[in-house]
Amino acid sequence: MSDAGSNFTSYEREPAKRVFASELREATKTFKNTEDEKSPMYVLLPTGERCNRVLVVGTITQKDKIGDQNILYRARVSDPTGLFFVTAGSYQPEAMHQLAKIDPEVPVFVAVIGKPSVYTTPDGKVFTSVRAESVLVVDQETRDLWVQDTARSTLDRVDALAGDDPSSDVLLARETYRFGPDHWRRMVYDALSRVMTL
Amino acid sequence: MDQNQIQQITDRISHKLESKGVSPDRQSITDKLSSYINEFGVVPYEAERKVLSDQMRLFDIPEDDVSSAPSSVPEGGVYSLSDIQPGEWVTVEVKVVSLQTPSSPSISQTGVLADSSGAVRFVVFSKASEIPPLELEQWYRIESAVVDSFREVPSLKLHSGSRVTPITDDRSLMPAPPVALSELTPGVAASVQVKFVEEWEARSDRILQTGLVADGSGKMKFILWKDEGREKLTLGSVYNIFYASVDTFGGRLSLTLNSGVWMEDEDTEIAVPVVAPAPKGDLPVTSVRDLHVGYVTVQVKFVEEWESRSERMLQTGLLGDETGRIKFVLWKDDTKEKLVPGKVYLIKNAKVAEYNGRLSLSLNSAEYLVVDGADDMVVQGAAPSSPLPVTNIRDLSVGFASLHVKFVEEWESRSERMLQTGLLGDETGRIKFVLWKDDTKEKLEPGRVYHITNAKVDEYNGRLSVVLNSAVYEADDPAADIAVGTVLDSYAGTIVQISGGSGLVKRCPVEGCNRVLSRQNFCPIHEIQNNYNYDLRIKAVLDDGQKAYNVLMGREVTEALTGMTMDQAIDLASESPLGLEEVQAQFTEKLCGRYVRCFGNDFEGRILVKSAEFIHLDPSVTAELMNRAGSVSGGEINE
Repeated sequence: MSDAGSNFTSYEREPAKRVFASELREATKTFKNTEDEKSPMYVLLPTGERCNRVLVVGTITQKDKIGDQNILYRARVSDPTGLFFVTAGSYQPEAMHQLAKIDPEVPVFVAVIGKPSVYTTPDGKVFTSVRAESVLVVDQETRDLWVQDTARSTLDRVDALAGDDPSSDVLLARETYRFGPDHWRRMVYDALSRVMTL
Repeated sequence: MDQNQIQQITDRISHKLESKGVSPDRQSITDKLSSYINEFGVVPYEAERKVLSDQMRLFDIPEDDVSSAPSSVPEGGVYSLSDIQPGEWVTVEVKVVSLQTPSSPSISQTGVLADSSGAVRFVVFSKASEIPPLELEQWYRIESAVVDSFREVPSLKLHSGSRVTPITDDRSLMPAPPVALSELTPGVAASVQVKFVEEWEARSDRILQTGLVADGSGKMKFILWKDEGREKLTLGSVYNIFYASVDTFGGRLSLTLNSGVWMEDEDTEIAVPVVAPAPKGDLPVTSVRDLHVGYVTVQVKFVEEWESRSERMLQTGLLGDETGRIKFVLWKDDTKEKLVPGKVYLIKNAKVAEYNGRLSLSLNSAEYLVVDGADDMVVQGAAPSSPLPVTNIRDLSVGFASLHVKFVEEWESRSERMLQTGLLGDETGRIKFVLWKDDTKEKLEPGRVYHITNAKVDEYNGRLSVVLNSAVYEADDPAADIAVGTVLDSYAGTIVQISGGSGLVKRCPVEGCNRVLSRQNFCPIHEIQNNYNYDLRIKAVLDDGQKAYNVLMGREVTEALTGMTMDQAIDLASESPLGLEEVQAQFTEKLCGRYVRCFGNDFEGRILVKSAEFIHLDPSVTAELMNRAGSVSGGEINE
């Protein structure tokens, strides 16, 4: 975690949290470190950890190019638990170029590194997307490693969520979100069992 | 996902297309679904959307046509519950057949709705405060409910935009005919007719009863949670069960009865034996690897005793032979005695049960006797019986290993159970060791070199350590010494960024300078230098999910990891219109998003990498993680 209290400590890059689509979909609470105006915007994961960057791996199923002047790419990426909505605009030139090259008509695995952001649509629906910094075509082994990695990270978070020594993020997640530890353990189990049989 | 479910999606897509007057190629739809779902791990609803949308384009059907397709909305706008699809906004006329206590404060009501075509779970969110509380047994017309699908289980969500009106005319709900257990899908089983064939030990205080029910088509696990007014079922009886929930866990279905109602059916007999009878004679010995559900005879060593987590349990632990290991349980029973750890037993007619895809052995039905003189039986994954050859610290992996090492650093032990801890080292690296208190073990002497045979190598938080309690160790000649290698820390994670200045770079040729030149061959100290030296390097960010590390790889490491030599990089840069940037771009494609392990040291916030390798998949990790995800509150998982 970055030392938000001091402006003179060296900048520390936010780590990319490993999170499955069906967890990120439920992550709707955002906050900043109140003591620091320059604090990044965090999304609170339902398993009780803040997150300002994610690493996700899945299969790209759709890509749309929107606009002529300010181009925005929108893509749908599916992991074994659900969908990630990925965007890349002109502020993310690397991701935009990488995404432009990918043909969504041929299924491929992609790794997406990016920032989670929470939107409220005009009809009041809240949903969470990933603003990509990088989008890379990867192989199945990488996808399988990611599922293991994400399963392990999620279970670690769930243990803390269920534990007796809650962090402030865990306390906030417990009061914000509707699903508890067992729900997420089950999601992890299902995700693993799907890649196991593939 | 099984072929049957893929076939169902194929049918739905084909119907939609046929309603547009085109004849789709079903085989091609099935193949595409299969590829997306099974090969590429896409969630079924997204695969369905994608394949349908591709087909619509193929036949030049405007996409908008799908969502507003008049053919998909039934006459009068009222849907049958059997026809609703995830993602649709529907109007239904239904009866509340079950109400349950919501599991979360954000849900105000949950339960099961039914019409004569089927049943579905429903949820009313607390935010939708304008919806009146639904009453049990009452009929309602519900407009603008959303059909959601969470992990392939459809449910009806009532939100603030939904309209609920009670139906006052007198209606009766005709119960649907029973569905065979083999035909059930996740959701709500409108009706099943089953026999209660096997009762299991409840492993959680919250379970009233659990076991197996069966009909002519198969068996299924059921759970009945403790709940006011619920009574146990009678073993051996046949029941008509309405509106039980069908849950999926680890790809297996089970029935949760709490949402349902049931009636004993004394007129029907289902020909399924109530509990599999124990075999009369003795079975031949089976290898642990070949065990299957039923009764077996095994010859195994008691390799590990575990603390029992239930008062009714006499003993539990691991048994094993050359081919594998299996958990066993022995319930308290006056006729049974505990097993002795380390002994080999012939166990006749033990019962093998499966739980969450894992087998375990119950010894209460069995007869077991010690096999004398067989204690040296080799068990898979357990300490080897013969001395292993010496391994370098660098090459250690989880399991057992012999070492030739120097005791380089003693640490204060932080636990009363620990006799000694510290660092051992050889030419290739250093590793932490632990020696637990044990009457037979003596402390090591700092600075001495030791021969250690068959130590146990463990992993914790991605770092290896050795435990010496299983090992035999012996000090080498007092004059013996080892030049212990520098400690290289290991960093494992994903490369999330290849930073600028990676790839092929030009360096200032001035003696002692070696700075990287800018694009115009400009050295910040020595200005323009056209007789530069080439170099190859990678500056990247390695991220393990908790921390992002800046890593720097020199030419040798870069060549080894990317498979591109410096000469190849020079050729590539000279042939490409992008010049040097082409090398960086190719490194990004090769490395970014990949799992890599780097060995190196932190120098002022940057890891100087001495060697790096791609991490490869260990499929057994998936099974371990599944065990971890599944091992909660005594093994039972529920919401």
